[in-house]
Amino acid sequence: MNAPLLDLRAVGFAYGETPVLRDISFAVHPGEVVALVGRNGAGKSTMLRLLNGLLRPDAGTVLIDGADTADRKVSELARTVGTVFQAPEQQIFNATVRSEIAFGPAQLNLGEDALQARIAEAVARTGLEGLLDTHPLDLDAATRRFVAIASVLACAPRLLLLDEAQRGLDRQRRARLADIIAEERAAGRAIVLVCHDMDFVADTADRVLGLAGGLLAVDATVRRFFADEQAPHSVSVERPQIAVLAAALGLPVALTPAELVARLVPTMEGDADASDH
Amino acid sequence: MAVARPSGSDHALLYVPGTSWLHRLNPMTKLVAVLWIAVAAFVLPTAGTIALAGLAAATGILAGAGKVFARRLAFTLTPLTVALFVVHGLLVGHGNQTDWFGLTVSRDGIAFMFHILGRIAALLAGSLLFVTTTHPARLLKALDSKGFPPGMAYLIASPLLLLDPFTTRARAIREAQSARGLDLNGSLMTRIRAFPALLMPLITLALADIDHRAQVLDGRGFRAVPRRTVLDPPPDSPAQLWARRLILISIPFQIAGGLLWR
Ligand SMILES: Nc1ncnc2c1ncn2[C@@H]1O[C@H](COP(=O)(O)OP(=O)(O)O)[C@@H](O)[C@H]1O
Ligand SMILES: [Mg+2]
Repeated sequence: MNAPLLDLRAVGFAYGETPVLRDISFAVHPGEVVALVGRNGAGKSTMLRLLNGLLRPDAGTVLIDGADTADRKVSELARTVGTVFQAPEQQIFNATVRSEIAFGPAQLNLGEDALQARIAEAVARTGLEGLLDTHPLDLDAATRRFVAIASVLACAPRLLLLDEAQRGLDRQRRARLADIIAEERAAGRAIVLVCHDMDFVADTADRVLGLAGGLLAVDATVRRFFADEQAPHSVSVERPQIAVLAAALGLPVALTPAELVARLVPTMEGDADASDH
Repeated sequence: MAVARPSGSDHALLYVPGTSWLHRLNPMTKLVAVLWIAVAAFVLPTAGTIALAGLAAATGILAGAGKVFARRLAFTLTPLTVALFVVHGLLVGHGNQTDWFGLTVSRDGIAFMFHILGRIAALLAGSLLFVTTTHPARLLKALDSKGFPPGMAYLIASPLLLLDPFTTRARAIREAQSARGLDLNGSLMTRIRAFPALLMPLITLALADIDHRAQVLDGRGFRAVPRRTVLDPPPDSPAQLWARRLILISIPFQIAGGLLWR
């Protein structure tokens, strides 16, 4: 297997006296989409801050592209890691959408042409055409979220961290976000997304990491995670309706309606065959 | 606003009648100065807040309000000192323990005690400077004569109301900007160049907030009260106007300096 982009070894972290994460080890490879799940306060946002260098582990090491985050400045790590923070719509700072999106790539000392190309690409992917000269605070919250996403995409990070980026988005924008995640994966980038919405996890992720009691309680493929009744329960999340339905029908796990139909049709045909004889 | 010229002492107020330099300053100037002190009380380190409190108390004594200062500061700070000493010096497990007249005292706990005491003393002494030398009627007249709508009292309190969210917000701004590649730990020059990228969002968001508050006030009809003509407005001077402007301009830098580089 290729070298991991992200490698955590026995990582522990505490805010002052309060331990939040203990003995966490996992690796994420290019082209992987990993969902980080767990109840409120489980330490998901803390984990993302360890991954982008805003926090340093108290124990163990966090390696990004082979380099220890403890030896790197956050601003250096920003060349590799991009973060869309929780509630990014409250973290928009520039006077126009254009300057907001340009902020990140401008720190990278690209040439002017490359900078403009980056902005144009991020704008197209997030559907913000026509809004470039608008003040971000005049936009609705969901559009502002996409401004924040565009400002991170424009940095072309090899590891993308999303903290609840899908929360409260309508159908169309959710689909757009899912497309962006799929494109990033196809381009060989890695994504870690914190997400409470298990339908979104089933749609977009390859693998689930579950935090409970400060420990990494689950590390499984999405399919295995939802096939198991216990695993989601152990990290306080609900299985997607479609997976519950498949289980109720006594079928192997299904994550999409199409998959459920595919599983169902042979059984029905089988029944039909049986009744013929 | 029946009081034409406040003269007698009103016992419900801390106002001390007088004609000192501080009494004669326009209330707006004093209000702006209090605002500056309040912000400084939050952003200065412990030694700075204690010095500020001492300076404010000395000014109060010169203005003839020494008694009120002594009483109020003693009433507030004595029980607070005892409580903070017991809780943080002796009970809570702060580090750096040392023996002191047979007691095991935590130096870190004592430092924390002074940190809190300094803040509160500065806030208290600063506000006392204002309330001991300004009759509320004169403040309202000053606000009215400057054309401030009645809802302004609410807006004047806004910066203080905003202080707590500011701490969270300043951290969010620092985090988001550095995660987008802004270098906050480099040389002094790098830091100075990074400053606008931290300060502008803080101001923009505060303005958006105040704008929101103003709309809420409009909704409640605060602005519906017609402007009145003020008889006998408190005297003002160009020098005071400029002093106010300078103090106000310095406040965002004070806040940003204290919060962003902590
Ligand atoms: N800056 C902080 N200081 C102290 N405690 C914190 C801080 N941020 C989060 N915590 C605490 O750490 C725990 C994990 O928080 P967080 O990582 O935000 O959880 P999640 O994102 O999974 O909801 C919570 O108990 C929270 O109260
Ligand atoms: Mg969180």
